[in-house]
Parts: sequence; C-alpha cells; structure tokens
Amino acid sequence: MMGIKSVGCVLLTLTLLVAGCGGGGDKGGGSGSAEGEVSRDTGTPKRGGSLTILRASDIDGWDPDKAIQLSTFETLPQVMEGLLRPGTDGKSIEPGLAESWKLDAKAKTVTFTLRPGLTFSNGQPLTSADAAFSVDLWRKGLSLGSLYAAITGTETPDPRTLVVKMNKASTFTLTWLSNGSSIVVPKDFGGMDRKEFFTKPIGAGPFTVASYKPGQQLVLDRNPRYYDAERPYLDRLTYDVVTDPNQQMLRYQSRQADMIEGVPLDLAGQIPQDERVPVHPSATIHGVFVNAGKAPGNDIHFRRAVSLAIDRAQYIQAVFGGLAVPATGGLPPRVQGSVGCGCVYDTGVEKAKAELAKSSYKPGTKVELVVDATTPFSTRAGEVVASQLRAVGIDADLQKLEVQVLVDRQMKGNYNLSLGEVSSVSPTVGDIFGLIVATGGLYSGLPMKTISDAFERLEVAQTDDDRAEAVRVAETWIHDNLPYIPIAFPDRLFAVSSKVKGLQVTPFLSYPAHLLWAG
Amino acid sequence: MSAGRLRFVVGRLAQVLPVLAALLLIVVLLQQMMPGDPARVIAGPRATAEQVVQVRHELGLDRPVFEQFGRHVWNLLQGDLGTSNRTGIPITAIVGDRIGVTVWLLFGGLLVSTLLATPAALLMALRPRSRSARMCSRALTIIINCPPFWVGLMLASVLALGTGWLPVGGFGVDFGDRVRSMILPSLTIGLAAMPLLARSAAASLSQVLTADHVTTARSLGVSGWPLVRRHLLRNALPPAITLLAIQAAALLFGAVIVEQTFGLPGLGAEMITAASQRDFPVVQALTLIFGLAIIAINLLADLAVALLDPRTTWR
Repeated sequence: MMGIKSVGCVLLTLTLLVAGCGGGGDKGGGSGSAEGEVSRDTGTPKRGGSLTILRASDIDGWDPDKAIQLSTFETLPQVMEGLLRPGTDGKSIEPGLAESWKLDAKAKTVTFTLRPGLTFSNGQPLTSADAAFSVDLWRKGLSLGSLYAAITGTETPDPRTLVVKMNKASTFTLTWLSNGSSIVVPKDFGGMDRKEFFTKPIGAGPFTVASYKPGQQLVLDRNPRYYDAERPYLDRLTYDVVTDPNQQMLRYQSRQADMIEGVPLDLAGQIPQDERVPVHPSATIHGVFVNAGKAPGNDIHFRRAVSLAIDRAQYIQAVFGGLAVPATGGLPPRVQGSVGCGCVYDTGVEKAKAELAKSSYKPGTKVELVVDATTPFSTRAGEVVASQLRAVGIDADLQKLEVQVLVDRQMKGNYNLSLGEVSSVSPTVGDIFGLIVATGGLYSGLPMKTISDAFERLEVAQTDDDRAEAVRVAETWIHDNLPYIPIAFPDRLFAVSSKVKGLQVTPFLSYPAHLLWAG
Repeated sequence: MSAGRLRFVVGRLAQVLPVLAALLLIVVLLQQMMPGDPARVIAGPRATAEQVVQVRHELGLDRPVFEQFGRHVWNLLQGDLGTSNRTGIPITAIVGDRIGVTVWLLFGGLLVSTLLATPAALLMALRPRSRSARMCSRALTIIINCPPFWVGLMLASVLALGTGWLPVGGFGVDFGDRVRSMILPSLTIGLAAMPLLARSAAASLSQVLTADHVTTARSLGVSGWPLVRRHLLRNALPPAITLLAIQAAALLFGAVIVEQTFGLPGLGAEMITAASQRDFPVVQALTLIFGLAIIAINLLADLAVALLDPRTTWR
C-alpha cells in the first residue's frame, strides 16, 4: 500500500507532500534519537486535558476502503480499533481488540481471542460476529480488498473467538491486519446502510467522534467504554486541517495548536530545536519514476544513466536540507522485511555519460520530467534533478503540473520521468511491495513477474531469513531493471510543543493517540 | 413598488437566466476537458481499470455530456445541489456550513475598503495638490502592489503573533471569537480592494467638483461638509456604487486566497479542495453560487443606482 506524498507521485496525494518534504532545516536535533526511536515520553501520564493537532490533509472519510492518505490510516483506528495494532518500533504487531492470536500448525488458520467485555462506544457488545463481518468488509473492498486476498473465510465458534482461514500461510496478512484500514465495525453496520454508518461511525476505539467537518476539523472525545479504563488519557483530541504551511506554522507558534503532524522541511528552522520530533528516516521512498513503456525510458542503459546522473548526496542537501539518507534500496526502510538490496545505487557524471552513450537516446531529444507544481519543495526538487540530468547530456524538459494533471499523465503513460514518493502505511514492507505489483512497477510498464513471485514468497515467509530472502530478490530486480530510481529515504518532522506527552511515532508516521497526554 | 420598477427588476432577472445557463454549461464542458479522472481518485491507486469504470458508472460520468448537464439542471430546479463525490455529504450541507465564513469575509472586506477609501478619495479630490494627498496617492500605489497573501501573512505575523491580541487563523466558535478572527482577513481583503476604489472615487469626485451645479453652489456660499454631502457625494455615488459592485465580485475571488492564507473554512477554500480532488458536483454547485452572488450584487447595484439617479426611466 502506499501513503503517497509527493512531488509528483505515482498517484494522488500529494498535497501531503508538504507534510513532509522540503529542505533547509537544521539537521537532526529534536526529541527523536537514533534510528527507529521517536518518542516524547516523559513522566507519569496524567488523565484529562485536550490537545489540538494540525494536519495538512483531511482523512479520506471513515470508510476504510477509501483510505489513501496517511492521516486516514492514522485516524480510523482511534475510533474503530482493529484486532491488532502496529508496534511503535515499526516492525512488530501488538494486541488491539484481540488480546491474543494463535496460528495453527500449517499457519493457515489464525484464531483470535477477543478481550473480555468489549463494547462499542454506543454500549452494544462487540462479539466475534462483528469481527467476522468486518473481515468480510475488508476482503470485499474495491480499493484495498486485494491485500486480504489470502483470507478465504471466517468462523465464530463463540462470541470471543474469531477464526480466520487463509489459502496459504500468509504471515503478511497477519501483519497487514494491524494497519489502519483493518478496523472493526458493528455487524451489518448496526442496522444502517454502509454510507449512513460511515458518516457517523461507531467503533470500540479509544475515542468517539464528537464532531466532524470534512476538510476543516475533527473533534474526538474520550470513549468512556474503552476496554482500557486508564486510557485514553486525553478527554479531547482535535485535528484541525490547515493546508497552508505558513498558516500551520503561525498557529503552532501562537499556541493555537500543540502539534503539527508533518512540518515541511523548509520550515524546520522555525521550530525550536527541543520541539522537533524527527522520524529519521521515514518508511518512504523518494525517487524518479520512469515510463519504461516508451523511448527513451524503455532502454535500460538510459535508465541506468539517469540513476548514475543523480548525485544523491548533493540532491539530499539541496532538496531536503540534509534531512534524508541516500536510498539503499527500492523498498521502504525500517519496517518488517526492510533489508535493502546489498547493492549500490552508484553516482558519477562520467559513468552516466558512458551509459548514456550505450543507449538509444539521441542527444537533444527532450525528456519530459513532470513534477507537482503545488509546493515549492517539489518544484525545487524537479529543478535539481533536471540540472543533474542536463549535466550528463540528457535534455530534461521540466514540467510543473497540477497534481491531478500529473496523475492523469502518468496513468496514460504520457510522460518520460516523474518525481515522486511512496510511503508504507503498515509495519511490513509488503504493502509497498504489493503496490508495485498492482501498479505494474509504479506505472513503469515493465513486466512484474519477478516481483510478483517474490511477493508471494514474502507473503508466506515464516522466518526473518525467508522474508529477507524474498525481499532481496525484489530489491535486486529493482536495482537491475530500475522500474523507478530510488534517490532517498526522507525524514519526516513533527512539531511538538512541551504540552504534548506520550508521543511515539512509527516510521510510517502512525502514533497511538490513546497514549498521548497533556502535560 | 411601482409597475415600472417591477418591470425593471423582472426584466433584469430575465436577463440573468441565459447567463446562468451559459455558466452551468461552460462549467460542465470545462470539467469534461479537464485532465484528471474523479473515478480514479475515488477508486484509489490499486483499483483495476474495470473497478474504475464501475465507479465512473456509479457517478454517472459515463453518460453523455448533455445528459449530465440536463440531469444537473433538473436537480437544481428541484433545489437539489447534489452530493459530494468524495465525502457523500449533501452539497447544501457543505454550503450551509461554509457560506457564513465567506459572507463575513466579504462584508468585512467591503466595510474596510469603504471606510479606508472614502477619506482617501475625499482628500485626493478636494485637496489634490496637498502634501497629504500626494502621500496618500503613493501609499495607494504601494498597497496595490502588495499581494494579498503576503499582506495577510505579514498582518498575522506582526499584529497577531507579535501581540497575541488576535488569532492568527481559523474561524473561532462563538460570536466574539468570530469577530476577532475576521479582523485580519477583512483588513487583508479590504486593503487589496481599497486602492482601486479610492482612486476611482477620487476621479469621480474630481469630475463632479468641476460640474456647473457645484460651481453655482460654491458661488452661493455653500462649502465644507454641506457641499460635500449635498452636491458632491450624491452625484459621485452612482459610479462609486457600480464600482463597489465590481469590487464585490473581485473580493469574492480574493476571498479564495485570503481563506487559504488564514485557514478559514469558507466557500473559496472548499472550491480549491473540490477542484484539486476533481469533486465535480461541488465545483459545479460553488461555481453556480459564485455566479449567482455576482449577478445578485450587480442587480442590486443597478437598482441602487437607478434609485439614486433621478434621470432613470425604469425601462
């Protein structure tokens, strides 16, 4: 799956980009520490109080099958918790509504035991029948259903036991069930139709929806019926949707808000050092997407020349202000199965020129490089790539486009190169892996047989070694064939005032809101 | 209302209908030509081509353009603006939720621009060679060259962030909050509109100043405020009202920028979001509302001018 943010991404999104990209900030600092550990956790949690959080993009709605933006994956489980939740290390899974789970000997059946005495926020008991209905809902999803393809059915031997049957020993599926779209809703939507239910959702998460104005504000109140009597600590959590980054900054600085979910890295310098919580790096791949369906992108020598032309260290400095690391693979870092390719994405002007000379590219031929025109970051990134390509003799024609125009051109194959990003939304590398398969190598047009086979291996990998082996096959294929050219794993930055406590952010930018408290 | 005046109003309203129809048709045609597929946006990146086709069918986007147009008009005639493709929320609810912000902003902007432009125009018209008039003229030149988003950002940084007296953005929850939250946006939009209004009003006043009836009044000893009120303003008002109506239309579009700058949840901000998400029903409805607002403002201005000008024959 992807939570795209982008400079011209493979699909949609992309206003989100603002949320995470840009350059110019001071490197490092803040409350984040070493790779993998991002937290603002001091003292003993206190009950009560409220926090206001700013985000650049609203949720895609409450229907889990419509989830595209990271904010949706982050928010839905706060109201409609799932069976599992992701661990804050970004790789593990933890109990959610299910207090435990057990795989059978063949690892094709998972038996979940629900916590005792679960109720929805309206007081209705939550049973395995509700969970089974929800599993069915996920499987039938138009957009995300394919990620649950291994599930063949469910059984509910008793109100606290849910048996999920799979057609293979899919460890990926178990991990994927912890993502923010695998949420539990009442059976038959509590007597409503789907559309009606998802305008006023009811769940068994730590919060309930107090009010929701799409595109403006979401107010969540503490769910007094939550299974954990202690949590959530907050009485109220407010999300204000503010698209303009300057307005976000002003509200944060004036303390109209306590936290910004994704500060454009250009503005990092405006956040006091001790209020920065960086995610370093995030589970995001930033790179150049290539249309390999037509010349010159259909020539591997040309694609290699592009990859060699990009000076990643210089790019990261110029575009991200140093707040990124050079990509060491084509799949996101810091999630389950991230092993890199063990190969090198080399850089060098002379090597690039030599590779270009071997290609069918004719000097002087325009190569369209399309980027999202809506943010200064993406246009600057486009300018940097274009200049690096020109330096090796590729006549890059930088085109700054409105996001939907860009997406439309990508979908129709009406481009040569595109600058963009894709992000994980779950604790497994498999979601991006699956996206690559589903979209034909992020719309490169290259055959995906090797990747598809590797994904099948990953899906049923029982050990870390099996998983690593499957990922390496895919990584090596991406390195050798370059359906897209990984450039960097960028950081993400949260602005967090001293009032916010208990924040723990995963590499895919999810954070358990029930652990937040107001200091 | 006399029969003549009623005929005048009905006649003007009748002229509005073809304008509205043309506006709707243009919007429908433009969105057909726009790159970007709303069905793809809704179906998501993983959806297959067949699934996208299915969504397109459910949205009625696979029907002929004129059928879509006809259906849209038919629904409008029944008071149904439709529902948002993205959120499934009735557009009437979206408009109801957001129109207040835009109306506040427009009235605030008009108030600020009128309050600032009137003395400036009087100064430049009555004492055109004075030092203060020249300074005023230069100030207007500077203001007109400042982009509203920059002015907004500066005002928010200096007056709100710097002092803490006013909120830097948002719309607030109660009446007092809202008045406070509208001060800077109104100032921003009012400043953007003010220079043109002031200059035009000054030119209009200067013209009236040299008119025979003013010279006569002056020769009869009328001067000062009575001269301004009785002889200048009354005659300079009709062109000023016409200009104000044009300005109101400009303010409506300026509101789009100012709403973004101050994070105000108005119709302009919604328009931007809907357009970027290819939420065509919302774009259509808002275009219609903006069009209606402009038409209504101009109609009211015409009526006001006709009432003020004794030469009007109400035809």
